[in-house]
Amino acid sequence: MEIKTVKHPQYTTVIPVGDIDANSSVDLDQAVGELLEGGESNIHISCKEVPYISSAGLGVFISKLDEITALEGDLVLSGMRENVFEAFNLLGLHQLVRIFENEVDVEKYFSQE
Amino acid sequence: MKPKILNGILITISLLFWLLILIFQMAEHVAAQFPVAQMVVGIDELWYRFALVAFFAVNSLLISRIFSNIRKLHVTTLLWRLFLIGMIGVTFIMIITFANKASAKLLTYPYLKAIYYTIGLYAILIYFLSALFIYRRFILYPRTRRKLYAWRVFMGLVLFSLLLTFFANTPGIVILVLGCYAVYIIVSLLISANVRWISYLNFNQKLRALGLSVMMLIVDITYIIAAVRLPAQMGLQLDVTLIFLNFIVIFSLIYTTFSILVLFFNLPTSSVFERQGVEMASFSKINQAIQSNLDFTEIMNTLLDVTMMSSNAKAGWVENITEETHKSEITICKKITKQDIEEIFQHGSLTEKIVQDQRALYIRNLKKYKGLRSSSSRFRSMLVVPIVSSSQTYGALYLVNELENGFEEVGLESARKYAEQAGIALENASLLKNSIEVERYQEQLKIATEVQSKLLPSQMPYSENIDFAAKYDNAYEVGGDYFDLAQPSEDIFRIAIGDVSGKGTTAAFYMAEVKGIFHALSQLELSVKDFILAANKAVSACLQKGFFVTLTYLEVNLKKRKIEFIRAGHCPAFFYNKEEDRICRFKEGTLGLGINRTDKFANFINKTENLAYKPGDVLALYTDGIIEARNMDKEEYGYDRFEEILLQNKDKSAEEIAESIVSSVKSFVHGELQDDYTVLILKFK
Repeated sequence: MEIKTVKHPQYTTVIPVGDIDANSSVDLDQAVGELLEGGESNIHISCKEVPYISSAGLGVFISKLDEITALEGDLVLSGMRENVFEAFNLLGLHQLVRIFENEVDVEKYFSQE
Repeated sequence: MKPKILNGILITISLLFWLLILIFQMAEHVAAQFPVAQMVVGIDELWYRFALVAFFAVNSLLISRIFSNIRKLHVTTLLWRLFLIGMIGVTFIMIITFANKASAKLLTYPYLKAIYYTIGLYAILIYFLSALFIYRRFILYPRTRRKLYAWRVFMGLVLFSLLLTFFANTPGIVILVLGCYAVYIIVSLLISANVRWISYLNFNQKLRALGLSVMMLIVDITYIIAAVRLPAQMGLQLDVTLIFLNFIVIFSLIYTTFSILVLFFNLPTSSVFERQGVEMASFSKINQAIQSNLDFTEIMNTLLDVTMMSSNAKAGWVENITEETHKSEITICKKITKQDIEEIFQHGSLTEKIVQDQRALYIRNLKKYKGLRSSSSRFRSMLVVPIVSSSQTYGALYLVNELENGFEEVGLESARKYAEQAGIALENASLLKNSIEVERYQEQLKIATEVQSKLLPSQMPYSENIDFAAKYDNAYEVGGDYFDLAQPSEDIFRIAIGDVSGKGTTAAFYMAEVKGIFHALSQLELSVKDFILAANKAVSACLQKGFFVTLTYLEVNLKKRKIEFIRAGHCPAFFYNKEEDRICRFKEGTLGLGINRTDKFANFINKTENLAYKPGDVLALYTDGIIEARNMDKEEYGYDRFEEILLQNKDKSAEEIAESIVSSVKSFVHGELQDDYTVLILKFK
């Protein structure tokens, strides 16, 4: 899948484009993994271009969340469509990660830190 | 009539006619000595000739039958038999000649003379008839219409000579007879040009055939001398009635001479034909290797054998490009050691280059070839041929010779063809191997499907208070959906429905783990909350990072008519309340199992749901395969459709409710579902 990354002073935005399923989740896992290896620890994943996420896709978020927590970083999400948010919600992930409406809120959140 | 019986009859008739001729001969002597006897016996010359013609005809038929039935014998075997037949007569003639010399008196007895004469006649006839019909097979090999026609004309003349027997002494017929001889000799010469059978023999066979033919020529000549000289010695005249015999003797003489000449002049060229024969055999060997799907080493062995033979190489080897390192490696060598090969290539092998170019290389002089100049090897010329197929490269075939320019173009060409065939053979072998492997995987998956289906409850428990029903299926052979029921005591049912993240085999293995966890924990006296805490711990220990399990766990108390449950990341349960005639969704819940693997997990459990049920109420549990089923427009089935169908069917049995939900989802997506799905219905009574 296509994954765009945009660097900000306090964090890095990852923008996956397309469904996150068993196949494409590997790419996302790799993209975020590379950022973490590169020394990033504040990751923002923008879900505005993700129409669907499967359980395997959610698995990537969970394993990356663990790694980021271990690095004492922050994982935030934004721009989720309703069904994607529902998937996070059902699993209880909304209790573990911060989910924002849009990028403005994300920027605000990181600049406050 | 059976051929053997017919032959027996013919032999008997032949013997009878021979006896008749003997009697005629004896009678002639008797008549010569006692003129009165001639009157008494009343010998008629015509009758004698008739007996002779019949004798010839019967024997012709017999011998022709015998030799047309022996199909499988080889040329040299046939010639050998013919020679043996000839030797029997020759031995007989020798004995008479020596006996005659030892005591001249012996042949003065008229009866003995007649016996010798007729036996000699018999022997000569059998021999030359055998020659005639064995040569017939040679001439007609390979059989063509033109040759068959020519042979019929020839046989017509031979048979005509039988008729001439009757008129041999008629005055004026001499010209006709002489004319017949002339025509006959010309036809015999023409027909004797058919010696194609010789080209099918190899050198050794030709040598043997030549030897036998020379021996036969000697036998022929012995007979002719005997036929001319012996009757004179015995006081008999050369019989004018033997035109038929003369004809077949002439033919045999001509054909034997022709064969000897052709065999002799063909000896030097036979190695070329033999070589072609070898190549044909090699080609069929390679083809066999292709069809019988041998392994790599066997195919390479065959390739090396046949190419070395067909190109006259002194040594050869095969280098294989390994899949892992993409480097060449000597796999088989013949008549050369690895050290010798390394001596040739001091700057690395040519295999990679050859395989890349996919072109054969002919090095006429190793000493002059760039990169191999320093070689101290005894070999001077080399052929390198790539072994490739349309989809893969395997390596290269090396052939070496001690002479400069040691290979012919033909050898290069055939080595290229063989290597091509070997490439095809290797591809076939690997295709077969792959298909066997795929089949094995399919077989294993079939077993996995079977095993997994046994992990799920095959029968719903029976209860006076609850009507249970479940429907499920996997998108692949195995899946990650799980549900189970346990009844640790009479009044308690513990039920779990869950979904392992991901699909297919991994999910299926974890699903089996979850079953183990459920079975262990459901037997303990744990509260619903404690069950989930323990399950999270167990799942965290078992599942790889990034995998998780969503689970709804319920405890149904039949006595209190109460349900207590927790939704751990799983899809919300739907409860139909008959009294209020409405459906309630239970969205409150905690994290899926395995997401938080620490003790902090407990903090995410706020409360457990408690329900009191009454008859007519329905609890619907399911996995995301139902709700997330998407149609062609990528629209999800969703909760609302689910609720609607539940409402429509609420009064039916649990089985019917489950059935209608599944068929509703299937008609929504227009076909089979792309995800694993499970529906579990509890209808309370």
